[in-house]
Amino acid sequence: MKTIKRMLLLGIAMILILAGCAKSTDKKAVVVATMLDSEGSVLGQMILQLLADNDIETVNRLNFGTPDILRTALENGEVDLVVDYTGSGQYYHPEDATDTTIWNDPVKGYEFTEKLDREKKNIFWLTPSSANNTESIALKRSFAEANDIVDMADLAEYINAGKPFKLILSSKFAENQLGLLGFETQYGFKLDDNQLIILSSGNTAEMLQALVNGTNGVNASLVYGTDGALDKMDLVVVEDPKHIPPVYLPTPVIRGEVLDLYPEIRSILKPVFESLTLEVLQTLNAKVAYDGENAADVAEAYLKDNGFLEK
Amino acid sequence: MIRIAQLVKNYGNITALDRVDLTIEEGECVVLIGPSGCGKSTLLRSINRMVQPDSGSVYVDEQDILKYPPETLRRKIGYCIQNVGLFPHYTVYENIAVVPKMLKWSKAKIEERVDFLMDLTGLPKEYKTKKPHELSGGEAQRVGVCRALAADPDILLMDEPFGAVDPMTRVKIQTAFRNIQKELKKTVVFVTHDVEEAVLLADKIAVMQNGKILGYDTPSNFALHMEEEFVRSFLGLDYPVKLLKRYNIDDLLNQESDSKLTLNELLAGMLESPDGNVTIQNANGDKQTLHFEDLIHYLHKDDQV
Amino acid sequence: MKPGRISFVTGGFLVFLSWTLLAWGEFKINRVSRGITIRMMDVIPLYGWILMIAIFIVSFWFELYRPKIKQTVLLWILTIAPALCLIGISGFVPSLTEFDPNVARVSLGIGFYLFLGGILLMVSKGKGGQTRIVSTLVWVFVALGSGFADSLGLIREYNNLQDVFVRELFRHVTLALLSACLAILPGVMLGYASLRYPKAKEWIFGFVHLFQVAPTLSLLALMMIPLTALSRAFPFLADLGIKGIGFAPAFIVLFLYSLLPITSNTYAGLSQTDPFVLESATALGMTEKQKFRRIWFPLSLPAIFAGIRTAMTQNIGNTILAGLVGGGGMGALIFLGLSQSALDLVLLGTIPVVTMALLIDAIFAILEKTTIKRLGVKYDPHRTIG
Repeated sequence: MKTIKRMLLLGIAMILILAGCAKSTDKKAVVVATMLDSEGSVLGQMILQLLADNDIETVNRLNFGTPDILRTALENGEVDLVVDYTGSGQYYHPEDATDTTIWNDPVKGYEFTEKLDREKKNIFWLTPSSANNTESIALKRSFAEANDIVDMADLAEYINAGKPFKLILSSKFAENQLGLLGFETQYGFKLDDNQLIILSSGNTAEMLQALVNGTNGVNASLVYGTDGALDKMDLVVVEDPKHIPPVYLPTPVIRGEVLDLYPEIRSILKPVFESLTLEVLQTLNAKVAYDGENAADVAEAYLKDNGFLEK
Repeated sequence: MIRIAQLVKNYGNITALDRVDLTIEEGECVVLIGPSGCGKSTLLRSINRMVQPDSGSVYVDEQDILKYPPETLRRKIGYCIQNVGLFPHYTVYENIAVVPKMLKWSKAKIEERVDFLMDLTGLPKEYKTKKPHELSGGEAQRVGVCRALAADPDILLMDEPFGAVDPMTRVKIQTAFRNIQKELKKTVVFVTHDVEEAVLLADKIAVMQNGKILGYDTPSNFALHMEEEFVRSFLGLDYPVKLLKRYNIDDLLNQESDSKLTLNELLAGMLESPDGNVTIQNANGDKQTLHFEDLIHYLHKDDQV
Repeated sequence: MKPGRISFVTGGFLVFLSWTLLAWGEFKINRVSRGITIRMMDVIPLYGWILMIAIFIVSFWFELYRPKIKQTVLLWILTIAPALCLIGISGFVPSLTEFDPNVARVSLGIGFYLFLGGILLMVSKGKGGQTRIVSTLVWVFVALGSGFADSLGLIREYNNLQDVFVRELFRHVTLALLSACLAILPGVMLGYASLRYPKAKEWIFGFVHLFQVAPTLSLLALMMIPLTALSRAFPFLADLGIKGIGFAPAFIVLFLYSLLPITSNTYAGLSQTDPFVLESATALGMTEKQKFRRIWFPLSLPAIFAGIRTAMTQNIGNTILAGLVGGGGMGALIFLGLSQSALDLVLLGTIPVVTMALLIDAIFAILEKTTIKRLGVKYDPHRTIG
């Protein structure tokens, strides 16, 4: 009996403590959340540091969860400011996304998503970066140079000439009209089953490992545009002028109520995100994912070196 | 003291108690005996409301036991069972003190009572702090008896309490119980299937079969009922010999002697001796010879001439 | 064969296997790429090898032919071996490759783990075996924290996120243990209800069983929908931290999970109490309430404790999934590591979970023993469910 009473008291005490912790502070702190990857870590840290530098209190919920969870959390108001990608708009407002060609245009895709989120959900998309973190095909630099492959048209030529080719990719990309199927239609080639290794998860790290090691004859891999591996492993991306896979520009996305409280956030983040080119992000991601550097340090170094933070 | 009137209890098709009537006088030790399933345990447990009869009544001191809460009744009745059921997380002392504590006795009074009872049952003082799992079977049952007697109840109910104890210890504990009963003179209802135990402990024996009481009398008088087939088959044709265990030489001589032999041991001695005589030493220090006729004479001394 | 000898010989065999066949570590030039295999010979010079093999042969000969000599000293010396090897492995420097010393790292390989396992088996034989096992693990932790093993990927990851690690560890433990604690009272009450109302027993057990059978992740997903609706309808809930994502759904799912072991163990404990003890309690004149409070319930405590123990150790593991729904905890590290293919980060998240589970289990084992002693009850752990 004593044990029960003791445990009950303990339980109640803990709930009270927890409730105390969970209660929000008087001036609303901005809850910043990002996705579970190195880009999420670095960009998230940049945002935290920039906001702190401008005396805006933040709550660090970086590497929050899967993209769906992150979006739901934003819509629910559990988090305030996230880093999302412009192409995601096709999933957020599917009824209105009738014209699928807008996703191949960096500007049109952004405008569509920005407008609908603002009007329907009071969610604001701020200034995006120009780095297209979308799916591409990666080749070893040596291989690309030896075979004179610069863009998808060159690759199609190589494939149609019957030369050895094996691509490792995710099932989602393989079945997507805005993915492999689109590439094949638009650039005029067709891969058969034994030229493909399909993985169920979208974990490009494994795929790039296979590419680098040449496992199972793999000489091409799915990659995301800003992946650090491109920098580290001496790989190149095959250019895609037609933008078949939707354009995914990393963008700070903020809830309307919070933007009203701190309208300066828009102007604080604008120049920083504009400065993040594809190569810059590749380098930053490489430092965190491959060199294992602390994301906060990498973010701080970048901000200071480029004058966004005082040294 | 305890009056049982027309008690009926059925378990489905089986009749456990078939309109049973029984009166137990104060200070008497009544032994209920019979084959398995005869209803003796059911009858016993009807007295402290552990069993609810279908009809009929039980009166304790002329009060219907249904008139007040069962807990009140049970605290005035001691209860011992074969498996003892000591509380494993209580010490011996705490086990014995259970009912007195519930009755809000003072600590001093409880301690005094526990000491008295442990003395009475032959348990050493050091056992007070022991836990039940440290006790032997016989010791545990003694604690059970102490616990039953703790609040000084007038009635004691015992359901084959010595059945789980080994034969040697059983004799000891039966003798101890007999002496305790001589001193305390409680009203005891005792259930057993062991005829010899009944003969040893009972003031009256009730023989039961199929929920009925076939015979209710003193052990010695039962020897006269041997014509009834069931009684004969249950008590055994050697019943008179079993009866001898009840008495000892002091009873025969009507005085104290140095010999502590029971009468059946005396009989055994007589059978061993070629002339059927046994010599013992009486209280004066004189030697006395006992003959087989003395034994017969003693056994039939109350017969009608 | 005595169990001590079996573990000694098996352990020795594992150690031998680890020496000859398997990689002790991997030297990686960066966090993700595969690297150079480190073998035992790379860590220990040749004379060291010969010495070790000689010691082992002698030791085995003693064990098999002169078992009376206890070799306790040798066993105690062995407890420090894995820790030393760990430092040795982390100090490995490849001869011909270029690398950046701040970036390159060493990962422990299966050979090391096999060696560790083998040593643990070997030292467990004989008196003081359990102490030696703990001592070996303590030495390993000391080596990790000593600063001499800093080039281990595990340590690098830790140094990278020290405060995140501490914060999420605290969050993890709180989530796991608090949800289990809160389930104690309802679980016990449900167990009691199952006994008291036999007709309800099927329903109750079916209900609590459901949450064990349903996959945790699905439950989490399911939980988010009503919670979101609830927090939108009653904003004060949101302020308290009860929203569709994060702590709240994870907490509720873990709470529901904890119900089965506690409920079924309470039921088992109550129903297996010696019926003669209960009969005596009634016959002595205790009311139902007195009987329950003083006799029946205390005697069921060992079983209930076992149920709580199961619930807590189970929760420590299940809480990992909270990392996927914004609930944080060690799961956040594990999934981050998985997404980046940084296996040392995954390890950094996993080791605390395993350690905590073992620790809680051990604490409860001690607690159970003392209650059993105090109650003098013969409790058979194999008779309970859950």
